[in-house]
Amino acid sequence: MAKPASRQPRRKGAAPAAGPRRASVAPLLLSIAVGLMVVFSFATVLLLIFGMLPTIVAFIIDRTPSKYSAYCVGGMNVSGVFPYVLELWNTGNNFAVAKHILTDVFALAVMYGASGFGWMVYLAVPPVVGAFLTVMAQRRVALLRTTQRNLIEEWGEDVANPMSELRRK
Amino acid sequence: MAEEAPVPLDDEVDEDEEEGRQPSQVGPRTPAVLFDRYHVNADAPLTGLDSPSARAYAVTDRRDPGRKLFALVCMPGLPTRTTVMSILKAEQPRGVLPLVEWGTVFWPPLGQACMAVVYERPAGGRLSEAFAQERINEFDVPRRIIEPVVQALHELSGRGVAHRAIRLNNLFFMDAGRQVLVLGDCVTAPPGFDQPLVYESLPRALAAAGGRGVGDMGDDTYALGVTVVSLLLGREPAARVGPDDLLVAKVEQGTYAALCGNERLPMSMIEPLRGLLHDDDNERWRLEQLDLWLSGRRMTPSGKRAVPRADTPMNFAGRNHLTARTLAWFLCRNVADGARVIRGGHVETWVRRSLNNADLADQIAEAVEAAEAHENDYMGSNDYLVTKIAILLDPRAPITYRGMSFMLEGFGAAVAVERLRRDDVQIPGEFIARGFATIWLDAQTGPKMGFANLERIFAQLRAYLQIQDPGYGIERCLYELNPSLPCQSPLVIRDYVIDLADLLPALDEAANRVDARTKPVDRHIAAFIAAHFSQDVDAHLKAAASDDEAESVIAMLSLLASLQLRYKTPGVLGLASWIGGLLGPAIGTYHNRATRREIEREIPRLVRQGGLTEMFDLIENTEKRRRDEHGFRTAVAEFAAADAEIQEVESGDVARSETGERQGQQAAAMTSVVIALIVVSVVIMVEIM
Repeated sequence: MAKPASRQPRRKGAAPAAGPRRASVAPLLLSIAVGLMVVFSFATVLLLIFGMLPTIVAFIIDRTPSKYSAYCVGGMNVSGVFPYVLELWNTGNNFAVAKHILTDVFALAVMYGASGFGWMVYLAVPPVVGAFLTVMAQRRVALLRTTQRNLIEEWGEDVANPMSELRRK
Repeated sequence: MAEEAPVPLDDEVDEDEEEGRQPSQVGPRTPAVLFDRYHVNADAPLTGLDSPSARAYAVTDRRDPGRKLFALVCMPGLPTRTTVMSILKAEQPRGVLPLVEWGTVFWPPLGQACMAVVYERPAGGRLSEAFAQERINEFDVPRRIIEPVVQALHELSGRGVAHRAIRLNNLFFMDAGRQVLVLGDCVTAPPGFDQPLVYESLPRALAAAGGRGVGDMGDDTYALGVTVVSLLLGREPAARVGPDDLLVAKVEQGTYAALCGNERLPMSMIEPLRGLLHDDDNERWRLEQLDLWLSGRRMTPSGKRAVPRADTPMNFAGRNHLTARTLAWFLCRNVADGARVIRGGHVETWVRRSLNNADLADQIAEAVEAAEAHENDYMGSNDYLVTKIAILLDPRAPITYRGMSFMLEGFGAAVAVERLRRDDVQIPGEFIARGFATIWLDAQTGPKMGFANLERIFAQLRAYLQIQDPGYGIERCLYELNPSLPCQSPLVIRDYVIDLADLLPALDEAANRVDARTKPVDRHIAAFIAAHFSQDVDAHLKAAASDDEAESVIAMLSLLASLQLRYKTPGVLGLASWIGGLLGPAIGTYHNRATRREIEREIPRLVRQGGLTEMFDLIENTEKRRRDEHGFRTAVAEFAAADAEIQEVESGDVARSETGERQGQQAAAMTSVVIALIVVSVVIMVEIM
């Protein structure tokens, strides 16, 4: 037999029991992972933090829930940063190499240039897609109007105004 | 009494007008041909055999050229007795002029078709001509005159026919020796129409010639009595007396006294003449009494008066009236004065005091009160009041309304004659609508044989009159009352159509001479079809009356196609072409343009075949109509859906722009991520290798 307390209805507006638990676990896990990485691979973390700055900025300034700009900039930014991360790991993964990379103008230009390209993609693609959709819609309207013209040609004007036919009857 | 003037039967017509209509028969003085056998020669009139309503012409029988025949060509527009014609032709009763053939024939002198009745030519001529110079011996009368006529009447009576045209100049000798006496023509005019006033019994004599009614054997024996008096006197009795005086004398003195009172007649003939000329229909001698008299039995006819006499006369219209019958008759002939004396109570007072008939006086007073209560409608009019009072005064007499006088049973012929004389049927229409028939039937006393039938007929006529659509109205009444009346439509009147089977050929001919925009079914044709067609055509008539041109034309086509199917009429090319030209609105009822084009392509082919049924099937094919309706509904739905989609697309520009941006961002993000994955993969692979 269940205990009386367990039979009490959940309060209106209260979040499900699993919700807050999942929301609180992810940042915790992330914090633990970052903490472990700082402890065991400080140089990598440093490189990623400075290399991925455009992505972090994009994530912060994109107020939409889907965060497409962050994905767009982030994707390109990763492409720019990952070769240097690999170089860091291949050369001992120490702070000196990380400092060397971060002070190399060319390396910074590659990382930030890649993220800039990401921004350009993010800004250029939506208008192109919009224009494409408009053309498609216009083509559909033209097709429908042709269909209507054919119907009138085959069935007469009454097909466009059936009420006049009913009135005549 | 106003006698109708016969329409001349040999008027010349414009030859050009005739040309092109009936090439095989048209042309001045071309013999008209009846059933491809009897040539009626308009160049050979036989005036000695004329009847008052039909003229006689020589006839040649193609199969037996030596046969002596003549034809009576009837007056167009006058109803004939086609039922009697059929009986006389089929059964050839003895003692009646042998009727050889009858039918419609194109009559060149009139430029139109007429009814022609072919008889054997009587070799001995008319009885009146035989005794024109000398009086007949009184002892010859029973055997040479009365006996053959009685035998002939027996023959007719056995077939349910009243002759109604027995008179001195309508008895013929078939043989040159003048021994075989026969009754002459009786079918070329309505019953009693050709009879001089003196030969008509009371009260039929008070009716106009067209409204004397079918009558019965009593009317024939009465006419026989007058014929015998004429023979004995060597002239028609009362020939110098005016019609009004003759009728008043007949009513007030009785026919025998009026015709024979001052004449010297053989004693042996007084008894049968008193019996034959008795004014009371129940007392008059009929065939049974004549048979007994001819076999030698002597009888004394009763001296009972037919109508009661008043103690003191009532002076009206310059005459002193001793009977309600003459007063009623003169009231109807002087409506304004009549209404004045009726409303003044003089008639009621005279009936109460002089005729000693309080019941009738009360009815008159009641009718006057009713008229005063309805002074603003027709029931308060002089015409209505006088006719109603006349019916009350003399219920057995003919009804007289606005100058039209007829026995109720003779109303049909009276309407036809009224139309022929005045080309107007307003008065008969008013008569039916105002319920005079009911008033007359209610006023009857004594035996009411056949009255239920009359009541039913007039109730039906009132119903027809209340509907104004084609196929009803006064035209329908006209044809219901006169089955032998030719269709009076201007389109086919020249073709003398009395049989529905002849209507389509007549319309086919008419197609060549009428405006193609004219509809082939007018009010007369619709009424003629409705009255003669055995099938129920009410639905067709209702549709034909529709304001919708297409529905009306389809209904007309349907009606005519039904006729073609029923009578198996061969192709009517002219009519088909005529109707084909009117089918535009009907074709337009199909929505599908391809179907319309297909019908328009088919019509000329069907016109060439002259098939109305096929044409109707083409226009009003159920399956085709169903498919068209279904297709149209689908097309309407498809059009509406397309319209809605266009609206949706055109009104969704802003939303589409937002959608486009969002989808662009998604695409950009996806592209970026994919590039990242590729780059990472490539870099890793390079490092590994």
